Amino acid sequence: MKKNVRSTIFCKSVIMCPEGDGGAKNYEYSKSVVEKAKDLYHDFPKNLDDFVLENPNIYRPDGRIEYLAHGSVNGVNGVDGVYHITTKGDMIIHRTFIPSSDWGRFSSANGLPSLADIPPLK
Amino acid sequence: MDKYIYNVTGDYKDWLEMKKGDVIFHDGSLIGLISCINDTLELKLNYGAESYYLSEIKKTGDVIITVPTEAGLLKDDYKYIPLVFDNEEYEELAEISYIDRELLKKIQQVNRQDICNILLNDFKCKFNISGCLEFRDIINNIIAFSEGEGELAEYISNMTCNVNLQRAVEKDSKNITVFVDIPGNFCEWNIVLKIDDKFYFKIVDDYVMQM
Repeated sequence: MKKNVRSTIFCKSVIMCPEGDGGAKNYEYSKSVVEKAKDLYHDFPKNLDDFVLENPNIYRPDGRIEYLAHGSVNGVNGVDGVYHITTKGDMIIHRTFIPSSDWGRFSSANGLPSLADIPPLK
Repeated sequence: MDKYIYNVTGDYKDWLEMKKGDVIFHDGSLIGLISCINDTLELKLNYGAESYYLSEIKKTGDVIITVPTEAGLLKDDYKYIPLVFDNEEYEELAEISYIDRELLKKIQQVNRQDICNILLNDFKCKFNISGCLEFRDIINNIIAFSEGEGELAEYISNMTCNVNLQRAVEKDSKNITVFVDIPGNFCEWNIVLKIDDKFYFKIVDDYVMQM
């Protein structure tokens, strides 16, 4: 069932729903996502997708929905950062882990919330 | 001289092609391209292939240079090509990457060990030598130079060079061959240039370091 509660505003430019709605869908990966899946940041384990897609999301006017989750890659001593998945229709069109050292400038360039406002991976 | 060309693509501007002339140094993720680990700046490149390799970003004089990682040098499948950026080229790279600019201030100075590691990597690549090899092993197995025997032997064995890169001048440079007899390999190593009676290590095509 789709959850469609749009009540939590985490930053000025975006609206985040408190719970995601993507976990129940079966998404396909876009050609770009498949082609870029060659480094750890573009190819983190696929079994994390469902967890990221359950997190709060951002609706964009062009139909994109962006999902964010604070976590780490490469284990306990790994890199801290943000899982960022974007869907459009039935496609995952973007799938990246962004290290926290990059998040400030990446989020600013793309109108995304600050690290402190992103909930952890469930 | 060619300059680095950066081409950023992707809906989120997360992909970078970086080339100089016809040589592609990176065709991959812009996310995490530069990182800061234990106060050391690292650059993650794929040299146009699928695997990614780390090198360290350091500075000397007016230029920025990548140096191989100690851990990478111990691996047979490690890939490293020295890259030298002038300030303008490096600033452009810093601008398109996403790393917190405060972290870029942690850039370290190149030291002599870095230069030894660059030369060691050059030797291993040119002569396809795998396994553990130290720079001292090369020094100990030099048997001759094509010119400047005594002077060069002293410079290289003591590495008494100033760590100061200069743009290579195209006039009157002469290749000096270093003959190295590593067991199983007789190597003619063209790593030294002579320009106006001075000897230089050839670090990349357009940058040299005076001994």
